[in-house]
Order: sequence, then C-alpha cells, then structure tokens
Amino acid sequence: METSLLISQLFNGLNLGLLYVLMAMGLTIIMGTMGVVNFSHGILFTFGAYITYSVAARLGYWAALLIAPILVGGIGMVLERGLVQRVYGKDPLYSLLLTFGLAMSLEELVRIGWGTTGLPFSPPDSLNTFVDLKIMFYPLYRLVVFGFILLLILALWFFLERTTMGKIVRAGIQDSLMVGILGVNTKALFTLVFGLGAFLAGLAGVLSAPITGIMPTMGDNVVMPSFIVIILGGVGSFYGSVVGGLLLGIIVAMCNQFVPAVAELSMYLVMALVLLLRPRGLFGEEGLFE
Amino acid sequence: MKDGKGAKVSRRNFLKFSGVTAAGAAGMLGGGLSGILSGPREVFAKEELKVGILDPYSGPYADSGREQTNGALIAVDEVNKKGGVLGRMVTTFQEDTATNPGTAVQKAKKLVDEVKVNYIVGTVASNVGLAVSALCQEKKVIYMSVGCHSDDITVGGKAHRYAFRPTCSNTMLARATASYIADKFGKKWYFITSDYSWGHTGRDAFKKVLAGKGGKVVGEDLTPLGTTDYSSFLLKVRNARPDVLIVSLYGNDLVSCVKQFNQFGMRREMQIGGPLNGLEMARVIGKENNVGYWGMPWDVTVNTKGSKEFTAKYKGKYGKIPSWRAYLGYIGMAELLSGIQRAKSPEPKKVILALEGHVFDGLKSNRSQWRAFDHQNIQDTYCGRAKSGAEVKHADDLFEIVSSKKGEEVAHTRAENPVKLEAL
Repeated sequence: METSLLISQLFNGLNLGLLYVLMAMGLTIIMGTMGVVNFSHGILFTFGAYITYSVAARLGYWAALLIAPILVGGIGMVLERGLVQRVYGKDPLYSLLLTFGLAMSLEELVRIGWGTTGLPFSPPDSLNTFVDLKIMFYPLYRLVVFGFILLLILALWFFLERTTMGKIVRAGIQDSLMVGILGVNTKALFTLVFGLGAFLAGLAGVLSAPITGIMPTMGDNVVMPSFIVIILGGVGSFYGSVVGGLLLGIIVAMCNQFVPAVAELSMYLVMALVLLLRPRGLFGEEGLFE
Repeated sequence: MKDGKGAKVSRRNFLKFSGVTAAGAAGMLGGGLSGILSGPREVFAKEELKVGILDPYSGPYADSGREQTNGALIAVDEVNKKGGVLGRMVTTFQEDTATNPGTAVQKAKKLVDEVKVNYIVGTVASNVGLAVSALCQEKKVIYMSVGCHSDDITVGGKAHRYAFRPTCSNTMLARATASYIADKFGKKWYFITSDYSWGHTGRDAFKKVLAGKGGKVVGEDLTPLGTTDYSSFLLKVRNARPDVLIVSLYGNDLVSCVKQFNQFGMRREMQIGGPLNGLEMARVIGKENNVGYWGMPWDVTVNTKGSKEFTAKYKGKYGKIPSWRAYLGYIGMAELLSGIQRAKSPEPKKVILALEGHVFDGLKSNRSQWRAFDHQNIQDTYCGRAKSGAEVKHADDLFEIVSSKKGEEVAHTRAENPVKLEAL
C-alpha cells in the first residue's frame, strides 16, 4: 500500500464527510430544539440543487450559490409555519409521518416542475479543472468546496457561541420550555431554527450539484448518512455533528479502499457500535432524546 | 416543460382505467343487444386489445423507462391508425416499477389479475425484469423484456417460453465492444461494477473477452445501485494505472461516475468504456464530459430507411430525438402486435408460436430474428464512441457508431446456451 494513496483517501474522506456535516448540523439543531425528526431534509437538499440550476442559467453559478440556499431557507420557514409547527409536542410519530409525507410530495413537485430526467450541471468554468497536490491530482472545485464548508462551520461556531441570537438557539436546544418562560418568543425561534436547518440543507445541495449532477432522487442518498452522523455525534450537538460527519466520511472512504464489500454496511456497523457503547453519541448531552 | 411526468402518468392511467371500465359497461349493454342480432363473436371483436406497459417512471432509471414507453406508444399509434390488431384497437395500461422488483411484481399482478392483460411490455433493470419474467411464466402471460440486458433473461435456467428479449444480451454487447476497446487501447483493465445481476453479467462478459485476448484485470470494485460519489473508487483506479476503466454502471450511477472521471482529470490518463451508454445519460453527463466507448443496441445514426422513419415519427410526437431505449420500446411493442396479428388470435400460446423463429425488419442493416431456442432477438449490435466538445454539432449529436457486429457473431451459440424452454 502506497502512503500517497492512503493520504489521498484520507483527504477525500474528510471532503466527503464535510458534506455530511452540513446536512447533519441542520438536522441536529431542528431535532434538538423542536424534537422533530425531519425526514424532509433530503428534499430540501434536492431543492437547493434544482434552484441552483434555474438561477445559474440566468445569473450564473455564484449568484445561485448565494440565492438558492436563502430561498430554500425561506421554503423551510414557510413549511414550518404552515405545517410542521402543528405537530410540536405531539407523539414523535406525527412529525415523522408529516415530514416523510412532505418529502414525497415535494419530490413529485420537483418532477412536475423540472421533469423526471436528470439535468446536466458542471462546476463553473473557472473551477472546472484539477490541481496537482503532489501526491495526487484533485478537482479544484472539490478543494474550493472543502475550504468553503470549513469557513462556514467557523461562521456557525461564531454565531452560536458569540452572538445573543446564537445563545438563544443553544439554550433552546437545551430546554426550549425554559427559554419560553424566560420571555423569548419561541414561536419565532422555532421558525428561525427550521429555516437555518433548511438553509444548510439547501447549501449542501448547491455544492453537491456540480459533483454528482442533478436528479429528483439525489436527496435520498444523503439523508441516511446524515442521520447516522447525528447518532454518532449526539443529538443537538453542533460539535458532535462536525466530528461525526468527518469520522463517517473517513470510515466510508477507508472501507472503499480496503474492504469495499462492507463499505455500505460500515456506516451502520459504526452506528450500532456507538448505540451499544454510548447511546447518547460521542458529544450528546444527558437528557436529550434519551 | 418536458413530457413524462410521474404525477401525470398515474392520473392518466386512472382516467384511462375508469374510461375503459365505463366503456366495458357500455359494451356489455350494447353487447346484449347485438348478441341477439348477430351472436357473441361480434361482441368479442369490439373489445379492445389490452397491453400492459411496465416501466420505471421513478427511481434511478426513470429517464430510460419514460423513453421505452414513449417508443412503445409509437408502435401502438401505427397499428391503431391502420385499424388495430385483429380488428381490435390496442389500449395500453402503464404502471411504474419504481426500479424495484417488489413494486414491479405487485404492479404486474395488478395488470394480469385486475386489468386482465395477456401481454406485458417493458422494464429496464434486469433484477426487476427477472422478477416480472418469473411471474409472467407462472401466469402464462407473454413478457417482452424490452430493456433488460442481463444474460439470464434468455440464457440458462431463468429463460422460459413466455419471455422474449427485444434488446441485446450483455454478452452480445461485450463481444461487440470489448474486443474493439482491447485492440485499440490496451489490455490492462479496471472494473467498477454495479452490484446486481446486470452489472455482474456485464462485467463477466467483458472479462471473458479480455481473457480471450490475453489481457489482465488490474483491479475491481462493486458499488451499490444508487451510488453518487465515486471519488474514493476513482482514486484507487488511478493508482492501479489501467489502460481502460470498464464501468458496468447505468442511469444516474453512470452519469455521476463519468462526470467525476472527468473532474479528476483521468481522461488524459486512460480510456473508459462499458456495456451500455445512451442519449438519455449522455445528455445529463454533458457534452464536455461525454467520453468513452460503449455498447449500444441502436443509435439514431443507424443509416436505414426504417430507422429514419421511426426517428421522424418519434420527433413528430415528442419533439426530440429517440434514444435506443425508445427504439427498444418500439420494437418490443411492434413485434408483439405483429405476432398477435400473424397468430390470428390473441391467445398467448399461439402468439408465441408466431413469434418463434420469425425474421423481421428491426430497422437495422441486417434483418433481425426471434431465435426459437432461447427467444433472444438476434440483431446487429454496435459499439458507439461518445463525442465531446467541438465535434458535437447539436444537443443530441453525442455518439458515433465505430463498429457493428452481426447478431450471429456475438450472441451465445446453441452450445454456449444449452437452455431448454418448456413445452407449451
């Protein structure tokens, strides 16, 4: 085994993992704050990609990168106000059924709006090349995405740790009832949190579109790993989803390299292991979803 | 926008179904009257001829499924315009397999048991096709396995008297394509294979040709159906330095893999190819990334009168150039209907006898034939080169046929396929 190949796989695994991080962070704050297992997260990812396609055709990729996630965040807020907020505090089965149904109907909407066939989409010309990293050639676009998500995680960290708004969000994850009693408008907070989660899912869709191409089912393949990341990292834990996501990316890449037969299974094995040894996840806090 | 939206299909089906039920009720009333006047034969003759179309309209092969159905409907139009089959208008009932064997079998049962069809035309994925095929044998319903390429549809123990395959087998595609690639680009190959029956038999057929030429397999990986990121596999491939990467992938999986092959700059390092590629995928891969040498059952550039007429009709109805999936849908349906006409009876057993050994114009240079011993359509099989960049003159100018082999040269011989279909 050449070390250069090993390092390439490690790096590539981190890169894969960052995408899971983006998805999982949104899921985990929604789950932590409102107790909703959001199965419509994948379709929000798909919407991000499709809106990118339509916006990029008119205004270019960079405008789409800015506009699409904001639009998806807006869609998320509308969904929360119109539907999801009605099931807060009820049996988790309600929110599960609701968001699952939402995912299916929104996917049909994608087919009606953009067609059943996939759409061609490539990275912007300026990034559609590869760089010589000495140990390997790597697509420039993937490198840029890598840096971009790292910056975004930093920005989110800053928001959650250093701003009043962020502190309220974190407090909401800990105990939303108490936050309400202390005078915070929890209704607005919930809408904001759902919108933020949707924004992150949309952004992940925008960034993935040039890599995988755009198709109505593209969200299905990222939802499951994102849930596993949350279980790894711990529900409601921002850092947990970062570590869990990166870990999962590396595990999958390494399995693809050494034992491809169990690559798909490996995710679930790791999940089972964590559930057995530490049911609340690596960074999970006591009392949340236990 | 584009035609072929999942939601509309089911609605249309519903309308059609309720329409037919209403027509049936009216027919019974009318039949009672005319029965008094001219006997029961008349009533029978006025009934529509029902054909089930079973294709994926959702899931990873949705684009291909839509094309196959569109092609089949062209054949139905042609026949109905001339007064139908045996004097009966052909009505189709479309169902979505969702690229899932379980769903497909359920839908097939519905078509056979509730709608009472005697024929099912369609399916793309071979695992789905094999499941439907087994059911059709049990129900004694003719199954035109329009777009399934896995060898075992017509080779070995799963082949049966009621199943016919309009398209080429994987072995036919591999023999037409693999030797061309090996001679031209070298004999060190790496395989990325979709982990189900079609992927496996495609890979095996390519390996066999490679072994015959004294070539070497330098590595291989299986990927689950629906994989979207191939980067870690592509890193392995690059490290193994093959001459050619053979990808037995199809649909969205193929699109993602070829796109990423380009993104990693591997195009300058090796050639890529595989058992299948086609317009509906190349359009999504995009003309800049379109690359490689691929097996193709047909292409719009096949220069025959029949192919040109079919292309014109398809463009007239759908406003775009047909892919080979559309061609297969057309051939499958046209041959079934012509078989019924020749059999002078809708009875499946008689139709099977009319189809077996039948030689027909498959719109290709050489005539096609339903081989009696295995129900394989023996036909010209092509190797296509993907065009890219400046050589692409219009949106659908994405392939060029570089090699064409006669069906008898590439299909399993009698000795290679000792299948024995059951007696009727």
